[in-house]
Amino acid sequence: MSIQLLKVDRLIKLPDDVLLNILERLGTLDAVRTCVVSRQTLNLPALLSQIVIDLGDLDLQRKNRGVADMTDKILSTRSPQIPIRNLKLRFIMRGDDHLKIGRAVALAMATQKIDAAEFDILTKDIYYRRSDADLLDSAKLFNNFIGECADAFAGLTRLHLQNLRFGESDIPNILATCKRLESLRLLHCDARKLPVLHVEHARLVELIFAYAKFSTVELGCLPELRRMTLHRWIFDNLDNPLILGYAPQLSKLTLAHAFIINRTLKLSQLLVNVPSISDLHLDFQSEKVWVLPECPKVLAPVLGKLRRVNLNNLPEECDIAWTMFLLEAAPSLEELCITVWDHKCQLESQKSYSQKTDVNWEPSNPGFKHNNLSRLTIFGFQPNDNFMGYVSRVTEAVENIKEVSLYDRKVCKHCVDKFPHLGVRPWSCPQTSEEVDSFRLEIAEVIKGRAMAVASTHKVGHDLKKASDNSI
Amino acid sequence: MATREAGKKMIMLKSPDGMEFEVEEAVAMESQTIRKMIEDDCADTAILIPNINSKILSRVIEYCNKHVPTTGATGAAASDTVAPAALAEDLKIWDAEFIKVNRATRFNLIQAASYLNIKGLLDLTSQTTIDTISDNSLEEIRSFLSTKNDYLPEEEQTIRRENQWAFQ
Repeated sequence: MSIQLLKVDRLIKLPDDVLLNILERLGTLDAVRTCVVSRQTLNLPALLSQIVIDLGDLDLQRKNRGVADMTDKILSTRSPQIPIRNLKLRFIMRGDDHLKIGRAVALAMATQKIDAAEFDILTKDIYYRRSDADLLDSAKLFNNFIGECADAFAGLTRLHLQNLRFGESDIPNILATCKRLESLRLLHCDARKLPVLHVEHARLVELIFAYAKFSTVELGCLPELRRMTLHRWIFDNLDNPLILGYAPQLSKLTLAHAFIINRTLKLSQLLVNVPSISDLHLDFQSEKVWVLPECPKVLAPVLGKLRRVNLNNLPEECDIAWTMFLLEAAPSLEELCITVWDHKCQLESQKSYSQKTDVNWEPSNPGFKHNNLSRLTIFGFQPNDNFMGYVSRVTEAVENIKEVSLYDRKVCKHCVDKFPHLGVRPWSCPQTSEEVDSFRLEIAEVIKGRAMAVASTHKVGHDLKKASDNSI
Repeated sequence: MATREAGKKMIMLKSPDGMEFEVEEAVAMESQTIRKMIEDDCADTAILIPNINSKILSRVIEYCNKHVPTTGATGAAASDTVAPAALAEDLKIWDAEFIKVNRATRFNLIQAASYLNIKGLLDLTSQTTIDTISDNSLEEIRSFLSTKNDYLPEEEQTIRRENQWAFQ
C-alpha cells in the first residue's frame, strides 16, 4: 500500500449516513469492532438501525458471554429516537447469558420502536449428541427463560428453537406469549407426552419444523399463515401426521420425509381445508414414494390454485410416469420440476429403508390436454424409455410448453467423498459428439420442435461447459 | 438543456468541473434524487450535480445506462429470447467488472451513489467495501474509516478494556 494512496483516502471523508449504510452490512460485532478504532467513530454504533449478532456455532461457544454483554451495551446506549429496523440475536442458553440478553431486549422493547426482532436460541449441546435428560433440561431452562423475560418474547417476530423436549403446555405457552410472532422454527424438538400438537396464532406467517418428533401436528386457526415446512418430521401417528385446519392464505407447503414405510398420504385429504396452495414441494429423500396418485376428480378441487410443483429426490430406477397425476389434477400448473436422485450423504450407508417399487398409475383420460404448463425440468434425466416416454407424454398433453430442461444426475461432493464408488457410476447422458447429435434428433422428435429443450450434465467442470453446447 | 431526440426526452447533467453530459431521462431517473427534481419540475435546464467530478459522474452514468430497465426507452440488448435469469447473470458479471477500481474511486462512487440515491450502485460499492475490510486488522480498518488512532494512550487502554472482545 503506497503512502500516497493512504493520503488520498484521508482526504475522502464519507458522511455518517453513508458509513452507517456500510457498517450495517457488517454484522453488528464487526461494525462495533470497526468503530472503536477512533474517537471520531466511537459513537457511530449508537446510530445503527440494524442490530444483527449471529455468530457461528464455534464462535458462539467461545464468545456467548461477549454477545450478551454487547447486546446489553448496544441496546442500553443507543439513541432511542432511531427505530430499530431489525434486531437479530443468536445465542446459547448458558449461565445467565440468555437472561441478560432477554432483560436488555425487554427493556429496549419498552422504550424503543423495534420493527422486527428475532431470537435464534441454541442449547449448550449444539452438536446434536443429546440424551433425553439433556432435552428435558434444556426445555426447563427455556421455560424459565420465557417466564423471566416474557416481555422480550412478546415483541419477537421470529423465533428459532432447537433441542428441546416440550411438555404438554409448553408450545401453547410459547404461542400465547409471543403475540407478534410471524415465524416459528423448531429444530430437533419433540413432545413425548403430547398426542396432538395444536398450533393456533393470529399473526404467524411461517412455520418450520425440522427433525421434529410430534405424533400429529394440527394447524388450527392460522389466518395469516403462508408457508409451512415439515422437514424430515418423525411422527408416531401414521394415519394423520398433519392436519391442516383454517389457514386460508397457506400458499407454500413443503413436506420432506423418508421414513414412511407402508403408508401413503392422500393429497385430497391432506389439503381438503387449504385449496389455496400454489407451491407444493415434496421431497422423498430417495426412499419409497409416499404420496398416492389420485384421480383428477378427487384431487382437482384442492389443487385449483397450484402453480409450481417440485418433486425432489425421487428414488432412481423407479418409473416417474405417476407424477402426471398432479398435472391432470392441477389445470393452473405452470412449472413442474422433478429431481430423480439417490442422494444419501447424510446417512451411514446407501441402503434403503424400504424396497423401492414403481408407483401404480393409469392415465385417467388418454386425450388429456393441459393449457398452462410452461416449464418442465428434470434433473437425473437418462435417455431411456422411462424418461423419454415421460417427456413425450407431457409435451403431447401440453401444446404450449415453452421450455423443457433435461439434466443429468446431480452430483454432491460430500457423497463422492463418503461413498467413492458413486463417483464412478456410469453417466448415461450423451458424452461424445455423435451421441449428442443422435440424442438431439431423438429429443427433437419427441418434443416436435415446440419447445426449447436444454440437455446438460452436472458431472464435472468440463461437462458443465459442454452443457451450454448441448442446447438444442 | 432538456431536448428531444428520436422521441426520447434528454436531460443535461453538469459536473462542477464544467463538463456536460446529455443522457436520456429514463437513465437519469435511475437516480431518485434526479427523479424527484424532474418530477418537481426543477429540471428544465441543465442539472448541476455538486461534489461529483466529471470522471466519477461519467462512471455513474455508465452504471445507470446499463441498469435502466430494458423495457424502458433504451431498447438495449434484451430480446424475448433472453430469460430474465440470464439477464441478471449478465448484469452481475458486468457489475463485477465495473467495480474493479481503486479505493479512492470506489469511495467517490459511494458518495455519488449516496447523494444521487441510486440504490443498486450504493449496494454494489458498499458491499465491495465490506468484502475488502472483513477480517482486516485495526490499522486497515482505520484507513478505511479515513481516520487515525486519535486516542490518548491511557484512553486507549480504557477503550480496549471496555471493548475487550473486539480486540480478540
